[in-house]
Amino acid sequence: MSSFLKNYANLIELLRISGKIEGRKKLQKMVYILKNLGADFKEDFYFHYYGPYSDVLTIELEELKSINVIKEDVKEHDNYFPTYTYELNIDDIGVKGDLENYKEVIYRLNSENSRFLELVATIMYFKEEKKYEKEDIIRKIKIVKSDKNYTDEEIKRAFDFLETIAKD
Amino acid sequence: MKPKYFRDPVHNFIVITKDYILKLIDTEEFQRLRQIKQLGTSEITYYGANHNRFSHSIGTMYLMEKALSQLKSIGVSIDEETEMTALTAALLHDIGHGPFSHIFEKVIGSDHEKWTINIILGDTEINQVLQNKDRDLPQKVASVISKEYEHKYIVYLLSSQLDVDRMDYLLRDSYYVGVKYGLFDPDMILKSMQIHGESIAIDYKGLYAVEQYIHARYYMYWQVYYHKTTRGYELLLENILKRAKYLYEQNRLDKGIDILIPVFRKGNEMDIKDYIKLNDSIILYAISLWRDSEDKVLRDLCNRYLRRDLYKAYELKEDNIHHIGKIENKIKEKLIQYGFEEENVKYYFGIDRPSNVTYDYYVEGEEGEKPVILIHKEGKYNSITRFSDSIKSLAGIKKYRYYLYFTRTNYEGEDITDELIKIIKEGEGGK
Repeated sequence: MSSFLKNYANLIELLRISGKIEGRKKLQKMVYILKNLGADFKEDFYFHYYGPYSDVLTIELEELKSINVIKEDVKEHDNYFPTYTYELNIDDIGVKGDLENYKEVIYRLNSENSRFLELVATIMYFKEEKKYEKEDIIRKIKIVKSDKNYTDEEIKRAFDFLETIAKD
Repeated sequence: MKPKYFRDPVHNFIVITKDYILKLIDTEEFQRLRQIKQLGTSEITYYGANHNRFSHSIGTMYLMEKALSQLKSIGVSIDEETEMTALTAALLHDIGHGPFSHIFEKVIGSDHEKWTINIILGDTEINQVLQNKDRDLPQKVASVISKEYEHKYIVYLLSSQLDVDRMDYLLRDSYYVGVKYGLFDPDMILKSMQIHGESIAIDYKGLYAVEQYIHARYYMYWQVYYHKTTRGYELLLENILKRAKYLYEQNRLDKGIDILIPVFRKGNEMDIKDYIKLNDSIILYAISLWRDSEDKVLRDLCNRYLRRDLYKAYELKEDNIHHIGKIENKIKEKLIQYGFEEENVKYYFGIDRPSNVTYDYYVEGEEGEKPVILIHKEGKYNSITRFSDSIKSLAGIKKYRYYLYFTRTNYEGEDITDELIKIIKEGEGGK
């Protein structure tokens, strides 16, 4: 296997399992959550305005698109910002990732919307990387995500969701 | 306190009037930044690029002060505590950088932002100065760095697509590198800043200055930050550190220097006191010692580094990336034929891809992916690409270059460049 293409192996595998992923933000949060659950992703994430974010992952998607490994479908919207949908373009390029143990989680993540995954990824970041207690996490969410107006129900559901995917 | 004047080549006089800022500058951890070059290995391409993170950090704080002053002048209420937090965060935002920044991070697996926070919150002189000023100040400054601070516009000013950090480094890098296309009008941008919701917007009158800034960012990316020679030199340095680390793990690193032992032994888990002892000079000293190492590979790589015997850069065509696996195998075979050991060929070639570079140029993704630069015109706010055709086209450009790097000579100094180019070309043709 090429050492070069090996860098993208699990990203390609994620798309193979998911079929399609609608939204670049959603894809970002899926990779972050999977990485934190133990999946082998090398991309570094840092806390951004919309939750954990990886510049490297954004460029990798562009790279894979430019070498025709993935297909990007751009949907223009009235509010000016387009949404991007990703799927594999070439099935076999000689790289094999390993996300077999995460298949169920991937299906579940892909069935949620990006707003919810943004919340889940942010809670995960505060919990795993900052080691905050639950009360502090809720307080922080209200500060850093004030514009999102997450309801108490959404926050509770996100905590529950995290527990169940951690068990999967 | 008596004002302290710093003569800055980019901003001219920077006047420090706050005692805690001066005390922070005088700490051991901040003075260390004098020994860390802002552009790492770029000086191999542009010999003027010898400036350090010390001057950039002071410049960033200076621009933050100007931005806050602009916001106050248009009626934004900024209390003393918020201002103190913002100025300190700007001054300390790069305090956690290791020697040769990103190369070092790659080899030891560290993250400069985490070290910045460690230094602000840990047992350091900086932490002491901050605590003496206000017990909660270290936490507040750290929260700006980790983007959790309650006043989000401060976070935007320090870290976004149009921030004082980038504004300073583009101007400073341009000045020292000696290129003119990194220049723009920072005063016009700062004078046009205002707050929209929790973020920063630019009044329409500043549109052209922001256009200029975005163009500068684009040119600097291609001409300086992603320059093929610099990137190749970084790869050589990375390979030296990887080899030294490997030898240390095998208990075979001769000419070791004590100060680097925690790096190899503990990596990112090293003690903060050990971390702040590290700087570019330590690495260069180690390379000077290792050029006489018993280990053939380390010795060879260090000699190449010191003699500027760089890898050859070969630009791969995007259409041919699929063949890269085959091309790599052929290069390996050829290098082995020319005397390199199979286990060591990895130190003599490599591929650079755009996602390896820490700098970027202005892009707009989808909503909620990355905040855009907002322009305010007649009560309405929208992305800059709505107002500027030139930025719209620039933000849509997705141009990537892939470089294959390989040694020009074998251990004996025999030139093998043409041979290697020949097999790469054959590989690109699918042979």
